[in-house]
Amino acid sequence: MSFHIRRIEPDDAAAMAQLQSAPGVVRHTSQQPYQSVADWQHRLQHLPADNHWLVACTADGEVMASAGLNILPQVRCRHVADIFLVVRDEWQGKGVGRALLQALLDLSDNWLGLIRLELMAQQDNQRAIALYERFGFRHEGVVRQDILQDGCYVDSVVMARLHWPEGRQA
Amino acid sequence: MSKYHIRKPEPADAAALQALMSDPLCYGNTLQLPYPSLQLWQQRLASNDPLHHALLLESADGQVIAHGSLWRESVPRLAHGASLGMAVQREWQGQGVGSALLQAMLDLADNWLGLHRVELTVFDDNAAALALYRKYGFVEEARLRAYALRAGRYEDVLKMARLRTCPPAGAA
Repeated sequence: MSFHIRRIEPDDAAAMAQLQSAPGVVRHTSQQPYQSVADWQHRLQHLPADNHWLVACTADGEVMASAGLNILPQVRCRHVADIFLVVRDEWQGKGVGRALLQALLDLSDNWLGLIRLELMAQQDNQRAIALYERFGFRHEGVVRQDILQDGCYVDSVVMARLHWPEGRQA
Repeated sequence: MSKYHIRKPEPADAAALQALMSDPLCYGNTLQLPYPSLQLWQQRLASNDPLHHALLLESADGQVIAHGSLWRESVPRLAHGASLGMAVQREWQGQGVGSALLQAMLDLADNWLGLHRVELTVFDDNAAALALYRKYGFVEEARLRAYALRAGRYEDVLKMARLRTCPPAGAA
């Protein structure tokens, strides 16, 4: 299967509204089930420079998945970013998520010089947790009743991956 | 007469908060920077962010001796939670000031903001803060490795949280 990865553009608003409000994505993120294209247009037109978001597209331009990192705003945490990865249900299990995550790690390690990438995953999102484990993310703890999921407060796992550029603290 | 009382910060407290947070003990163990400007604190006190709830503790002779903040989460599915941060002036540490301020902030969170979860991060060698938070029901949930720069080193922090145990009034 062929796809290519590029940076997100304001024109991806409709695709993002659809992707981020898909039932499988809503369940395992902090998204809401109904999202407007206009809200996404506004967000993507004003995406801060510290947010680096990518999409994976089919040969004919359909958005299959998105991933991104957001550098933390606190000055003493500028080496840290939180990341997200969402894949459309019909493209799950086909290597798109893996390729996007690989691209994001390359961006972080080799072009942004970040040290710590972190994320929270709902505990029942085993597929995502397994993917992050394969890419060197380690479990750091469990955040209790972290997020509302289907009417209940559920726990999240905290995962992070450290990458020390040469010559820096190890 | 009580040795201190708790109140909301006012714009006129900017210089006192700048002085409090200029101590390496205070900025070092939070995520603040050395040399905070007066303007920074003036802007913070003028911001009126509805998600931010700050309190300060003042001595009988009018000195600002501690400051605490609760930041509510803006994302709807996380809106039952808030992050907490606080700092106590060096000379007043170990005299119950932190306990008094933390109790006031938790009363606000539990009984007036209706929060379910209060979380914080603390450097793992900040024994006084850890003991205080544990005393008021905070539990360590995660060790975030190399989370923050402090005095030239990337240090681990502990993520701690306290869940409200009693149900909202009327729930029974």
